[in-house]
Amino acid sequence: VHDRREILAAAGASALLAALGCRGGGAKRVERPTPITGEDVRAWLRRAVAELMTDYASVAAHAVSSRRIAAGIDLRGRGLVRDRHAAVALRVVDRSGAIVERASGELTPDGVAKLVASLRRSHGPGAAVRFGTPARDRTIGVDREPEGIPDSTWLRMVDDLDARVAAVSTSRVVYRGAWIDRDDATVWHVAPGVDREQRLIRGRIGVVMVTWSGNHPMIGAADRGTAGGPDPAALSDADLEHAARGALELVTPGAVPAGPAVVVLTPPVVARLADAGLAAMMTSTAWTRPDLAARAHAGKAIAATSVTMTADPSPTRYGGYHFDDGGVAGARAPIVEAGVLRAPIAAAVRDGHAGVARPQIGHLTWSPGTISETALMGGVADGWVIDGVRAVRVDPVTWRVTIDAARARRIHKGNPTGHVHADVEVSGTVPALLGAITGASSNTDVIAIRDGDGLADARWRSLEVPWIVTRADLAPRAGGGG
Amino acid sequence: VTINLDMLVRELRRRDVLAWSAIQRTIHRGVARDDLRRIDDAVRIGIVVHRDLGRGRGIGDVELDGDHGTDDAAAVVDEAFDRAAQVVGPPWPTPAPAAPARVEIEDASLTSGPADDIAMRIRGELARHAATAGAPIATADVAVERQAARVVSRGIADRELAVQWRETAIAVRATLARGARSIDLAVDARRAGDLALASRIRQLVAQLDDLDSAVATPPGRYAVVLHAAAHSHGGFGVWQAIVGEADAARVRQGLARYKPGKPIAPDAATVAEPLTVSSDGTLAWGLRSAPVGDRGEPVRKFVLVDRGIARGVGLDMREAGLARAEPNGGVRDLVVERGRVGADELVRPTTGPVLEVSRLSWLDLDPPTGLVVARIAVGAIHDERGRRAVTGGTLRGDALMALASAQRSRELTTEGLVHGPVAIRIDSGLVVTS
Repeated sequence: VHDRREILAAAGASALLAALGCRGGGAKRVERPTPITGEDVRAWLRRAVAELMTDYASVAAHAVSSRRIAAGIDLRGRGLVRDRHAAVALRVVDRSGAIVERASGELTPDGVAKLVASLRRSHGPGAAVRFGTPARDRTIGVDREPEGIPDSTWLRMVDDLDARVAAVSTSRVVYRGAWIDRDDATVWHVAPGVDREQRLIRGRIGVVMVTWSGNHPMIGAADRGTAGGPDPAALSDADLEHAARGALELVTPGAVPAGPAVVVLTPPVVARLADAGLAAMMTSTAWTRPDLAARAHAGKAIAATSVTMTADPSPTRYGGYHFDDGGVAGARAPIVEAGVLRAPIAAAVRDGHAGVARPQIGHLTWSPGTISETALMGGVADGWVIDGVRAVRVDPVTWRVTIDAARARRIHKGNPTGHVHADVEVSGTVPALLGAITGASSNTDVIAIRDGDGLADARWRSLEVPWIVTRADLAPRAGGGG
Repeated sequence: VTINLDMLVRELRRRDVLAWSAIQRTIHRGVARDDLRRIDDAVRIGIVVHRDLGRGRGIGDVELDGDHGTDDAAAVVDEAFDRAAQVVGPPWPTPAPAAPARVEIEDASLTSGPADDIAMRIRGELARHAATAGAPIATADVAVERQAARVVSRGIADRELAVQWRETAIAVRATLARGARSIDLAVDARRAGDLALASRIRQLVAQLDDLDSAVATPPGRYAVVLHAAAHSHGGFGVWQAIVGEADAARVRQGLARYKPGKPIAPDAATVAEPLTVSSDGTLAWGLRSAPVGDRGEPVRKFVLVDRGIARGVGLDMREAGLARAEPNGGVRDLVVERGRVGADELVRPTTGPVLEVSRLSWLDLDPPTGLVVARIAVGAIHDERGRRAVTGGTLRGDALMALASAQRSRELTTEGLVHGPVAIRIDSGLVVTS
């Protein structure tokens, strides 16, 4: 939702608030405190499962109560979002193996009972079901209850962030914005032998600055995401300076030379490459395509032997969890192991924790290298640092990836030359890009991604990635090459 | 839900505010996906209050998504009222309420019975057509949704507007497989009859045939013919260049290339077939058609480009107030005027090779610059050697310039959010790279 392209689309026209859902500079989706408790919900779900077990071979009940707070500021003013969502989904498998789900926004005893009634085929009491010991998984890093923080405090937090952005911007900045985003979801899953509850708090914080260079905008942005909160997600002064540099640096006239080149990809670029090029291709649903290129490479080397990527949905990660939306405990799984592509992931993730389930890698870790990013760049004889990723597109059949980036900075003999070209494109097939990797930094960054406008359609994921050096086709975005 | 629209409206009528609106949507949705069938029921309620706070206009929203057991309408309105005091922007005059549009957006064939049964039936039809065509489905997801909506709003002089309507929508996403190849189907429609699954699958199978013999698209400059699935890729497709330009806030601040009263591109008004495009939120069965917007603002048909000249812009309540004009509901479905020649004539290589693009893998459009970059999934080159299928290659150029000079077919179709020509031809300005 905070896609930089959207912000760019209306630079100077309050796109940030729109992206946050703060239409008209106002706030939306506020809700009174809920009277339900976790124990209430578990009792309703256990009763539902017991009743349905008389009619079905397999039954599971899944529910969520979630809240979102987001605050933003830009040229048009301040905005605040308080969103609240509740839903319950009952899933049964009949004797033929067909799966039927009934879902409702009514997370109340009557609401759950209505769903049960819509699925029951017989009358009478429920089956005797052993649910095991109820488990409440540890919540990661709640330093303050987000819901207890008043609107004025959230707005002051974005004001403070905006003041820090203002301090690093100049009169050339025509648009600037700052935002804070917190999701807080309590999820229950009940089935025979399973009775679990988890609370997942996820936070992001970001800033954006825009200047005009000739007839096109230059965007500088920085954002961070983390599990827990609301305090841990923070932008350092270095992050803000990086964003300012992206917006303010002067661009070298002319287009970047087109052709194969050594490229140093910054962590946001690497994260988007790994997300679209690997994570999206390595799910059981993606593998239903007979012509999926990744499927044909299973068990084969697709990357340099130094490359290892692991699905690691630890709840300490922004996109992680204690158990997935199918009730299965999160577990590490190799995606790329010493350069070799492994099996796809089937972990069920539901839109907003209660929608239709689709497999997704919650958190992907790309193993770091052994030298710092500075040393990594110091080893580049002649190449380009690619920064400011705007979009990454992947053709699943050819596995060709196209990275749209805001700028390429030239490096010669390990040092920046000062040449900066705007609007560049990096392309190649995923195996070619990963196979040509010659180095990765020891330091990594975490990139948090939140899809969806509200809570009912939200999906969260994250990636921890290093800087990498590889070879790819480099070209000006407007044409002239690869 | 425990709370309902009537309770909130009664409470809102008691308050001293500049303006307010309230909406309730009751949603019944059925999904049929491979081995899963599912029903979702939800009620969503939203209110907005506008307060004149002297130092500016305060706007407070409340949206209730799902039942959390509250029945305290006064508390919900209080929350919006208080929030409006926290979030204050520059003042603007409230437009007067205006009559709702008359639109046809409910398919009676989708209104009875559980929506998952209907979704299963459509999925079954899809599977039959695909199997008959020799490209069975590898995976398919069909969603059928029906909504009952009510909007009540009050603006200047305490004039109140109450509107209610029903609407239906279907979304089909599928992958068809033939041997080692597959191809994706994505179609959205208001009514079952507009899905046209049989004819769409025939087109996809023809594209699979092309892919069997396709070679890589040679880089170069071509006259490019884009079929509807390509020019309207993903909704607006290349027409997003016009939608993005017709943003009232950007135009007001002088940030758009689009200047009302001026040509959208050099020579746009003097080419052989000047472009005319309208936004029509009242179009029968339009995906974005509605009698009013969620804030009670009227939805209107308005001209965006008239024979190459920029005309209207999308006006929400705020922008309409600032422009002292009637809101028009913003840009919704597009209607692009037909051209003079047949689609078959457009692909004739008159002065050089013609690249015909049947579908794209993806499309990116950068609104500030108008730069479009799109990957060709299936196409063909027409030249003196005849027709040969191609795939791959990246198409780039200035979308606004390209559309301003494009020839359009006389045959019309609806694809995504565009009701317009089945094909357009762009003779210059687009380049293909590898």
